[in-house]
Amino acid sequence: MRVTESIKFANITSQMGQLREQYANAAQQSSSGKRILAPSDDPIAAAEDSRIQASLSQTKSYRDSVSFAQGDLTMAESSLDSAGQVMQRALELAMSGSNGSTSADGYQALAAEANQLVGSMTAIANTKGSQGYLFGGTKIDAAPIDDTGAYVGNDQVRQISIDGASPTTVTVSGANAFAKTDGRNVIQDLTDLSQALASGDSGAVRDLLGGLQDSHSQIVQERANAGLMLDRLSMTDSFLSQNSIDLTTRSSHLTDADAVQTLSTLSQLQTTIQQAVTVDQQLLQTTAMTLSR
Amino acid sequence: MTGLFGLLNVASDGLAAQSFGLNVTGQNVSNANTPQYMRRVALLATQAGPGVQIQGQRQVSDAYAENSVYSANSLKSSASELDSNLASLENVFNDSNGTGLASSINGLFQVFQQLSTKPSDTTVRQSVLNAADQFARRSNEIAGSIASQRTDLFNKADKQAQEANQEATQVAKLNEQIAQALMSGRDASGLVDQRNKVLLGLSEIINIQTIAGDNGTVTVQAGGTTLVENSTTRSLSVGLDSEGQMSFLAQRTGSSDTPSDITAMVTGGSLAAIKQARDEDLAEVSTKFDNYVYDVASAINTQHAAGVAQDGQSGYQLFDLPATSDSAGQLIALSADVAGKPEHVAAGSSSDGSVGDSSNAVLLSNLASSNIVGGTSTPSAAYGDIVGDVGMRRSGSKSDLGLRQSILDQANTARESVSGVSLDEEMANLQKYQQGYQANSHMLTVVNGLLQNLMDAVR
Repeated sequence: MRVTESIKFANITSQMGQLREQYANAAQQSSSGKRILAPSDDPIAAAEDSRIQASLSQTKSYRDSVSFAQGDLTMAESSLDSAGQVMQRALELAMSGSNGSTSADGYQALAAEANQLVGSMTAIANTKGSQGYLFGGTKIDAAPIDDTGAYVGNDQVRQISIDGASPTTVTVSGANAFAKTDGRNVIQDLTDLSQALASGDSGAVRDLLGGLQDSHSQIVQERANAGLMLDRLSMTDSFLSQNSIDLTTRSSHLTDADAVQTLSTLSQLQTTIQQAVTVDQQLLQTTAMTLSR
Repeated sequence: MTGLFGLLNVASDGLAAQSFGLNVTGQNVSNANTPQYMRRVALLATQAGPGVQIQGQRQVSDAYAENSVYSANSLKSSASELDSNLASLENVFNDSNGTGLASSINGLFQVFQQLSTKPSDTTVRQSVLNAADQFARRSNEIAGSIASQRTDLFNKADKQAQEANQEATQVAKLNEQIAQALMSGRDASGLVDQRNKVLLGLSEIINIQTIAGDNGTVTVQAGGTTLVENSTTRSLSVGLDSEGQMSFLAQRTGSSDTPSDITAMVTGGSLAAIKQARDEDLAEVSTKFDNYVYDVASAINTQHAAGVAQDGQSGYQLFDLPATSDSAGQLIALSADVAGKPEHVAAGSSSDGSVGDSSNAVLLSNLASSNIVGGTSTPSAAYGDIVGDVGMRRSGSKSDLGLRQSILDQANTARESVSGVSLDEEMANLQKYQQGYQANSHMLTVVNGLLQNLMDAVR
């Protein structure tokens, strides 16, 4: 084959062009730390990474929801703990007032304290969280125990979707705690106690003991429920945290450049380019014209 | 048998011949780097009588090699055009560079999740509107970018067709000039070089094949039709068919005949790539994108309308969408039902005015994991498919371009090997003609000397 000047120059240009392009790509990978700078660099990995990023975004928002729910739920649990203590004290007052050995003044004192317990319980039931009233169900904008002592919330609970599957309940039911259908109305029970004690009737007080114990159990039950929900949220958070790490690791494997390999490639290319330049210079000078001078 | 005076003529013929050879060598050397130059060879021959005849110069060419270069050039030009268009398309879907729809769609589902924990918070409700608006605007930008790229491509094809027509006209003119030159015995090599240069330019626009005609003319076939024959041409034009697809038409220049549709036969050059990019790649990705946006937004609308806003009403849409998925990407917008009215965001499901009800927000955020796109894919899976598709197309065009470039390089090398100037060879020729000239001039000196002797002898 005849080798002409054009062929020589074209070869040199094409070869140097390719080397420079490879070098530029390696340099970009090295400086960005990314193997995939555009979808065409690895289409399948790019598509997979797109899905991973969506999952990561979802996982993060689930974790935020869990964290937010834990705040109000912790407050609800501790409020129910206080409510339980109030019921405990109410039981003690009822025991004292049911044995027939208390004086009239004694009964008045007991009645006064029982009345205060009504106020305390009402205040607890009307606790506000970050969004609104904790124990009103989904009616969070109005106090669940109104001025007459009636429960005016509903029995709905709030749920959130934590894993894209069936929703998870993240609030306690104020109704179940304080005014359960086919259960006890706690405020009513405490009000009844206060009235019975004020009347000084030990028999009447004794009759209320069963109901008060049931009220106490009702509150303790709902508190336990809150505790369980908190445990579950905590486990879910751990799982989501691990999930997030796994997803990030997968994304990294797909898209990050191998730093060591990239540097090695860069170094190799540099050497090759230098060699190519030297050889090309020689080639260009090796002509009949230059050698026959 | 010639005498001394005859020898003088022989030597002087020889000098002229070597001088001509030197001229041809000089011409080759000075054009060593001229693109598309075909080297000349001096044609020296013996003649009936004594001495040497200068028959002229010959351009060294190989029609097959020339045609190979044209077809390789067409294909490379086509690959380059397609690759650059797909690069633009890829830029619009490059989430790692901040373009693409991923952050908007992820942001939207994130904010539905927030709404499920804080359904009565006005700031969160406003965030829902902001995220929905962002999704709509980003969709508009992406779809709009693809649409305007398609429009630009049509205009580009039109301009290129006109350029091809100008080049065809030039070839026709050169055909005429070459034929005239040859018929009057003049050298037409320079004109042939010019014509080759124009043909190379033409091959970048459309696939061509050349066939040698009479009197040095060349017939050019392009896109299955005869574009140039002697000094007549056909004109190319670009049109749109009834379905909005681009078509290429050819018509005898200046006539009013119905143009013939040559679209299917245009298989190389930038015109072929423009059609493929516009009517296949960009159109297909655009349709996929429109379907995606339509399905996602429709599913969100349906769920949102089923929920209850803070005024106790249902039926509010989150997005305004066209009736079908056609152009959904360009037309989607935040619905007037909710724009500026965060209280119309339907977080709850019950109409009893429970402020803390977030059950509809939960259902909205669950759409992220539901097969709402085409009935078979989740939003993230479907979007990932689009990104992968765009990536595959571009990755294919990149490697195709590399391949076509290599093939073109090979074709050029083959052509150069036949027609290119080798300075080594020309140096050898220089020596050859120089020595020839020196020898002939020495001959002249000797004959002159002999004649002088003769003159002296008869004085």
